[in-house]
Amino acid sequence: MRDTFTVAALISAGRHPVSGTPRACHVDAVAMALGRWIAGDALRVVHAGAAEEPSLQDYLALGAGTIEVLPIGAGNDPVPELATYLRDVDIIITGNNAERGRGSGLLPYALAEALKRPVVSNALDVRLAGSAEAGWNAEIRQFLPKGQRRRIACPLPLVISVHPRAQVELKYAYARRVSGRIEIVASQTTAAPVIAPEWTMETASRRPVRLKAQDGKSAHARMQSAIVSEAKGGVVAFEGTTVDKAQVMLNYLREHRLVDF
Amino acid sequence: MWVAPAVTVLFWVSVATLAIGLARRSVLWRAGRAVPFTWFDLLTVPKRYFVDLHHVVARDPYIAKTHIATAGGAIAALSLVALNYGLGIYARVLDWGILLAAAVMLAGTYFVWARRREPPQRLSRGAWNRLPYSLAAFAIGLAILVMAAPQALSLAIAVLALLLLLVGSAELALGIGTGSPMKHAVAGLLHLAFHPRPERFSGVRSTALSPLALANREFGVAKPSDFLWTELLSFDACVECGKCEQSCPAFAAGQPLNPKKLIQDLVAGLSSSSDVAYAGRPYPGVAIGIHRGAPDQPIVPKLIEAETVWSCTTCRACVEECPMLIEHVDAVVGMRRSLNLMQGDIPGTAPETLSNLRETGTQGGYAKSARYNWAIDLNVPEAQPGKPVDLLLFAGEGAFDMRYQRTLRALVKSLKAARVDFAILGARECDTGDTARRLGDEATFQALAKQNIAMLASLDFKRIVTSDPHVLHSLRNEYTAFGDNYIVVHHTALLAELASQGKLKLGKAAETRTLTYHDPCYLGRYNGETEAPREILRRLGIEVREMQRSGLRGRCCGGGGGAPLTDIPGKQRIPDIRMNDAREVGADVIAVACPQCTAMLEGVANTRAEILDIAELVASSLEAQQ
Repeated sequence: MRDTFTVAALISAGRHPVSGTPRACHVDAVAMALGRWIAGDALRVVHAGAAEEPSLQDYLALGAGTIEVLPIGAGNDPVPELATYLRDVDIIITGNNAERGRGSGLLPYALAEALKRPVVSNALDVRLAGSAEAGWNAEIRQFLPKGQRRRIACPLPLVISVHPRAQVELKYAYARRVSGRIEIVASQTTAAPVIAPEWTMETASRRPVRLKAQDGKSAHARMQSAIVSEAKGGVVAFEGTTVDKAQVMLNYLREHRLVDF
Repeated sequence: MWVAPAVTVLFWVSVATLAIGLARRSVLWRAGRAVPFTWFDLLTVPKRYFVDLHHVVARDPYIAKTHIATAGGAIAALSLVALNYGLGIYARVLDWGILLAAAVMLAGTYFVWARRREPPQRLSRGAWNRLPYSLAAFAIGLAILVMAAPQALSLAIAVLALLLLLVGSAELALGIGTGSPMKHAVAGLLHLAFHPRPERFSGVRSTALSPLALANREFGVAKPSDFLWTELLSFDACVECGKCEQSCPAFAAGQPLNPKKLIQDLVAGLSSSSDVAYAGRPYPGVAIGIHRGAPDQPIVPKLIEAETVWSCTTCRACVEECPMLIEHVDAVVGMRRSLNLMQGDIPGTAPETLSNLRETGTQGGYAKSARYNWAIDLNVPEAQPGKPVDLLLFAGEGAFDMRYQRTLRALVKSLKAARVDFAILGARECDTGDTARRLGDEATFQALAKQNIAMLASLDFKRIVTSDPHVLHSLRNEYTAFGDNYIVVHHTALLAELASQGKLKLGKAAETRTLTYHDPCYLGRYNGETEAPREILRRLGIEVREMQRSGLRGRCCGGGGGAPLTDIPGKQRIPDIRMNDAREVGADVIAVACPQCTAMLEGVANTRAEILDIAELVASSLEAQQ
């Protein structure tokens, strides 16, 4: 049933946030693993950029198998090339953000617009339901802040961008790095390349994403709350049986919609 | 009379049986990878047996004497039988010699029997339990047949004696062919001749792992036939005495590893059988009888579970205790290499550490420029190309640990007090890759080693000092395979040297509490350095109250071989066991000499002894003098 739809993972050149060393962009690697889970060996792995890019080796080690490279000059917009090359692919899966370059996360949207198909962002897992006759539906679990998740369905074709917390296991094997192949694909468009504006590149810094709402307390109040251990509106369940205490926990989790039962 | 010719016939039949059995077994060994050897290696056996092997066996005098009597008696008796009956001399005087040898052998088997009445748990039962009876049958049968005067011997007794001799000869002659206990005699002697680490017999502590030729697609051991044939032979030498099991920290902690069972499973693998007949203690928590293998079948998970392979701390306690000089750790790392390089299948947080090593050159994913932040106010020069310096300080991963930074600062203060010309490496330093290598990631290890070797080649120095025995082992023993030799000293050795030269004036330490010293495996067992730390403590006027397991036989802290990263669950934690060792001798302070030991022992919950590095004790004694 799998050969009735096609899946391609887009991978980008990653850089370690501290050292700047070339590596597989983490979320793209996650997207590739998710794509492998959906499509098995039929997954195509595509990179728009230079075939010499050292981080491609990491993707091979992570199980890319064969990487198709669309040669794109540095600074050129990859979207027209990718749109032409991937126009027949049902599911295009990629990470939310690249680790360098125009790491704004715009590419999935631009690609979806060019191909006139929907885009689903922050995917955590993807299941395909349906059949070749009735058409395929992608059922996607989507990441939302504060531990919330949403399940949505979308007909093919579509573009999926993957959240870094998707539950996949990345397995780095040196033997696959050696046995993997990189194939250069001929340029797809004859149109003159669109030259993007000059960008200054710098190593991305690792910024923790804060999910908690900022409370507008003064610095003094924050210091007080940090050093004085008084209860701040919560419930301290010292009393009662373990069942009572568990009930308090459950109420809290329900109140914050961290569980839904 | 027909007795003497019958013994002759039995002798030659036994010899033929043994030869056929050996030929059959050697086919199994030769499934392993080829390794160059010469038959002249067989000449080394007597020395290796009587010196190197006996040195280990003699730690248990009871069984050493028992084995000398049993095996010595048997070999003497067999030699005389070969002479007198094999060659058909039938001299009466030689019969007296055979009687004497058989009597010695019988005495030995009595003590084997006595030990096996209430055997220690580490010993395997099963087929091994019949040995005292079958060997006694051999000795008694032989003695009766050669000594009784033909006229006095009734037919019934002669037949009975011949049957006894037949039973005993079957045990001896069939052992190697059927893989039963007596195979240890033949395989053990051949193993001594063709040992995978022959340097062990020339007084070298051969502990470095052998490099993989990654370019030739050597990715470790996936199936039994990926071992060297000499390694397969070594597994057959195992006598299932369980000394390894007794010393294994992972086994003691209830993790699913038992070195004896591991070797027996590999024997099952090389001989296409299962562990049904195994009669020792299992891997804790794993049932016996469900493991099966073949020379060309993957070892993990059908023959050995992955958790077993990842439980090892690579402390080499099993290797140190093994009377047959088997190399368990090499086997474990070989299997890890395949799991890692071929499948990338590694448990716990180890994958994260390995990607950090690849991407940042540190285990924690730190900036290399932050490694010497702890030394920022100590005014230590940083090593520069073209600026000669006596000593380089190689800090290792411990430099990122706030607790261990206290030790490093104490070391720097001591070196300054001794007016040593030294420099730190700064941002040039890369992780040595020790952890990656023990986790089987040979590719990352070799990449890091090459970086460090190129970096060190650009600097002008005489020696390297490090406080991390893992760094010491890599630089001193394992980097040599990639092109360079360095003089590497451990900080305890350097401080002891400075004190003996009078450059470092150590006074009586203020430490009055009861103190014990914990030997790091990679300093003690891997490098044989147990004396320098104790000498420093003596100079500080501190009496060391030794734990039961110390020195070369010290117990591991649980921190080696990436074991804290793979974190295979057990019943208790290894550092807790070590802390109990310290409690037993009433120690309030444990002196350590390794960042891993520091972290593992300090991680023990509840009340525990204080952990102080030797460098900290030295520095505090220097401060007290000022």
